[in-house]
Amino acid sequence: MPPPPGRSTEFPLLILPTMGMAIWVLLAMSLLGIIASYLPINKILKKKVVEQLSHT
Amino acid sequence: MSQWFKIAWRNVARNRRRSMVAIWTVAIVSSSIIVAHGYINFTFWGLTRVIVQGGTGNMQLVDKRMVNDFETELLAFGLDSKTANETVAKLEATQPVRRAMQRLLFTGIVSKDDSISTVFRATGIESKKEKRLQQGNAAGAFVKGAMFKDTDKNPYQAVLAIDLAKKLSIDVGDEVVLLANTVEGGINAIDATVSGIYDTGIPITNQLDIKVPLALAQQLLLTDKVSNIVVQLRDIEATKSILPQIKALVKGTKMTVQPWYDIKPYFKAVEIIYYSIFTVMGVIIMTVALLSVANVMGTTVNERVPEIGTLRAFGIEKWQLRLNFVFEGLIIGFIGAVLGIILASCWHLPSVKQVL
Repeated sequence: MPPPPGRSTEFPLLILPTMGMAIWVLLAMSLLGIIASYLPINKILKKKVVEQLSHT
Repeated sequence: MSQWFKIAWRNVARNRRRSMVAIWTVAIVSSSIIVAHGYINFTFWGLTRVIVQGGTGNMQLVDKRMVNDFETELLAFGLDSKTANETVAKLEATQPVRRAMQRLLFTGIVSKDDSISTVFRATGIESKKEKRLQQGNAAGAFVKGAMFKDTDKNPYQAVLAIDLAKKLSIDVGDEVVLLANTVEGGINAIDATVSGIYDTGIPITNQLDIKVPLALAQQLLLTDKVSNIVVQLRDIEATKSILPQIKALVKGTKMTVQPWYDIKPYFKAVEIIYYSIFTVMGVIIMTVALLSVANVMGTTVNERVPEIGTLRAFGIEKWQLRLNFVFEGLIIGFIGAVLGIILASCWHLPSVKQVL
């Protein structure tokens, strides 16, 4: 990478992922999946059974 | 409960194409977050090393008055030779300390051949202990010559920053005259031979920096004092945990210990800015992911409304159906996150090779 402001030396672009972040992402995405599925099913379950059966 | 989980798993497998869209959306989002955080993490990892190994050390010992007051006279708050030597010996006897270095900071005028002169900012150093300069890492690398040697026999040597050397048209082996105020208010000058020219990594300091042996600096300033003692630990990340031990070591003396993050307060400011940006980015990415997955799940649910109605007609409770779909979301989220972690680790492997 080019030198950052105020410096004269280049630096390598590296990625240092952490286990903590991986666990956080795992939990967050599981929660996101739960919320994303809860919202539409909750809406459908508010309908009556007859309306659900006649849905096209 | 496990029965509903099994049914949810079968539903995910049955709607394979739609499930894969949701899973890959989660996977890409997960890897983006991990990579973005990994980059920020690397920035702080690198910044810590640039600061600590670039001359600041893990911590510095200075006179207590240095923290809040200003020196009205040169080295008024300096540490005398006896105190400094005893403290260095104590510090180096402590296991976590790799080395403790005395430094003397001063300014003056440097000239060559009595024709060109300019201001300098010098550091008197114990050259044997200044490993980073000797190793020639990116910042602090010698572009010509090398660090001064045998300073016990000949302390009249200096190394100059690259732009300062250019300004004075100086090459390795040339003689320079260093002119500075003494602690008594007089003026003193000393000739020194340039043994090396180095790049500090920072343009502004490249125009000003000089390093000289500590003995020469003390001789020039007519003092036996030093400005501070720089402490480098064996474990670069151990500053916070070792700080109380070093503080206890200097308790009852006129010295105080300053960790590197207090000496360079911009580190904390950069940290706050970076994490604020990361949080905003993260919230946006997570919202987009939530909408994408909700859209896919919404389509899935809408297509299965008559199926839901049939199950309800058979007497399946609402909570059981809700649980089934929640499990589907959980499975998609979990598998997507695992895939994302695998994707992000593909970025990590080349990085590790570069570091090694």
